[in-house]
Amino acid sequence: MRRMKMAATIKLNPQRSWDWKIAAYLFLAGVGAGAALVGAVAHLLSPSFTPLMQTGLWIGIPLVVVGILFLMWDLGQPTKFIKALNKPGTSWIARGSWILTVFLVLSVVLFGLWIWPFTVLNTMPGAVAVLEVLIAVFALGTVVYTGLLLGASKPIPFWSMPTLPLLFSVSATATGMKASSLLLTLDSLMRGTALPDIIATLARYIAIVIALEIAVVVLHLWGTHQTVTAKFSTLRVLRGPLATQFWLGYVVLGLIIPLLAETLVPGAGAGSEALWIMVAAVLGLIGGFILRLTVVSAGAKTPLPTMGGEIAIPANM
Amino acid sequence: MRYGMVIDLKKCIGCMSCQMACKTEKGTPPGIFYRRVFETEVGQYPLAKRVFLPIQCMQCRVPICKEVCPTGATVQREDGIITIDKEKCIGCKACIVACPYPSRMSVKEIRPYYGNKFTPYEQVRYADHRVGTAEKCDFCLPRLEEGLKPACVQTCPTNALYIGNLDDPNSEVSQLIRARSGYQLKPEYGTDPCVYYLS
Repeated sequence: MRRMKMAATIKLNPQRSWDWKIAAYLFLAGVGAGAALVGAVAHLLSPSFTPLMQTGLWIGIPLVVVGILFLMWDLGQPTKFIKALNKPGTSWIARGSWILTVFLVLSVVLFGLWIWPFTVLNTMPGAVAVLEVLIAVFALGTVVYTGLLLGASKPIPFWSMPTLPLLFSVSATATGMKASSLLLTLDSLMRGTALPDIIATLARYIAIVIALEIAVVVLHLWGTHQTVTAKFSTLRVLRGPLATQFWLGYVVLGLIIPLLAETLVPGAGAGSEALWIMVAAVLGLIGGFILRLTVVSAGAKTPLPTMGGEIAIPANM
Repeated sequence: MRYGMVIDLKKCIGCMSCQMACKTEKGTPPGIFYRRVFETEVGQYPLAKRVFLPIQCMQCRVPICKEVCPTGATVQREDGIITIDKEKCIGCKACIVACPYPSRMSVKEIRPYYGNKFTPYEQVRYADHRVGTAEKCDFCLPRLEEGLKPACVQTCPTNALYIGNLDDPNSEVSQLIRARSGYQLKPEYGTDPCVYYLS
């Protein structure tokens, strides 16, 4: 108890080694893989979801590629990026690099099946199903990995809690679905056709996933009361320097407005329906990035114990 | 053979000589420290006092930094010293965020200490450093290989620092750890550091 009191009185420093570029990497990889995961699983369950699967690849491939570019940008030696694949045995950066690479290769292969002369393979449903199962597996791997990468930093308790991979996975699924619904809506608007039924179906599921995300984020923040350092991170998020971006950017714009829009829209008129779907998707995506940024910026290392006191670890160490 | 260090906090007077000796020996650019002496105030008036905590790489027996390194740039030698291969380091900073101790730093830029021109000393010594890679203490490995003590140990005016072989139960470090209940920092992370503190 005495130690707890001491720690509460010293000022900790949030880490500054990883910044918004890592947040962008985790966000983009999450959205891309989330869209592909939902598309592949939905299509495996029912052939009527073919557009969702195709949209998933249209989103997944470029976003994961751009995400990797952000990771490379963050590296001190970007030209040596290929070495990141060296040690997947223990390193999550290496494991992630492999998972993302395999996901991209599989997605490009499936994408290629729509292009002549490979379209002949498309007539073999077995081959497509196998590819989709593999894509779903590696997309899920990517989605979960975005949470595990931060979790590997054991001295940062806000990151190493088991709820973080869950939070990032649920958020990646939600943002992936929002990105798909945005693209499908834009596509139908450009073609001048009525919104496909799939949009309304998607909206229902998005609302469920957002509700789940709210539960997980509450669980994650609630879990931080167990350690003083994690609590420090949470206080920065809830009422400290990160409070505005968290409450306004993530909670209001990223969760509540999209949840209301996705719940109420299926009953709205045809004109406003497309608009609200797009607003919900864009705000949800912005919120998804803000969530990653908030979590990355809030991480702090446990202080060093010394004779009767504690010493905060500098932000760059 | 396993190199280890003992730091006697009762002898440390917070003079920072070890920190400066380290900077001189390693020729580190501004902002880069392989060794730092932290200080804080403990207790309430009239019993308040300043306490010091020198920190460098703990040369852990179970190094988290090596585990999270994606390239194999972080290497654990037979004698326990952890080194970084600059050629392999891609600067992902995973080791920096994973280290429970503030012992690793990323070199963001290499600039002169005085004005805009590099001194002749800096011109020579900064060749050892590379922007965008992680750096840390290696117990002054080149000095150990010459039979010398690390610069910090050599410099400490109160003889608060000891280096030796932890595998040898009769070595000075092993005896000190036994006799004065030497302890490791943050044992809860399971890193089993080779740096022990006496207080």
